[in-house]
Amino acid sequence: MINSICWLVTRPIGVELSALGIRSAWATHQFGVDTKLVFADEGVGCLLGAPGYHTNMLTELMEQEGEVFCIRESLEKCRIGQDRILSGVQVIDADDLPDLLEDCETVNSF
Amino acid sequence: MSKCLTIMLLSGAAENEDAMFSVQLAEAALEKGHRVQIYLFGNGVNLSKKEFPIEGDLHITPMLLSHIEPTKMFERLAALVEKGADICTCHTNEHARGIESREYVNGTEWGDIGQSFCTYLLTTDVLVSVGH
Repeated sequence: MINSICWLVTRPIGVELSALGIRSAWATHQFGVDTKLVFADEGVGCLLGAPGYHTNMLTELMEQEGEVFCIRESLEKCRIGQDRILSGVQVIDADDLPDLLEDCETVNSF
Repeated sequence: MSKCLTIMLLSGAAENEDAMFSVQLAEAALEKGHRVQIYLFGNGVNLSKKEFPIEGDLHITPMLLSHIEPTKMFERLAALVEKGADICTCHTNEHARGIESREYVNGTEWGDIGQSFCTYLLTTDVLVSVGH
């Protein structure tokens, strides 16, 4: 049985895989699995609040106490200020990512 | 001791070797006596539907055919089910591709991420996602 899971999204908002990563996180969170959703690389662009599925799902996930993270260095690389991303997203340093991942039984990249 | 492997396959045939890798991994696990569950997600759902065979001249060279044909996983997926694998799809992703009403490869079943996939998590020891 998988009790904890991390979904890592590195694809931008226009790529289906980013939506599938968010959808998967929503599903496992709703199912009672300890779920972490992490955005890195170009995936951080999913957090800008663009109208549509990504923002709606992320907002709902965080309202339901889902844990959403993004990598500080990825934001900087994409020149996105922390004040521009969705409220509730936890910004972490890349150095902190390994510890976060080690807490999960499985890590799946989208 | 028998374990259970769950594969979330995100790629379809031909686009890369993810499907072939996943099927080979599943075959190896089954041969070792382990259980296998496969969730077809994203382009992976294209593998779940029976092929529409074309009649007449294919207008494809034998050399190219020999490159393409081994990437098709339809029959090998059905064979996995016969060996005991459990395979289901994301019907929403099927719908997005306009193939939801088409007939499934033998043994492959309708599914969804919220229930079918999450139910896999209840019984699996290992989850791997395969995609690009």
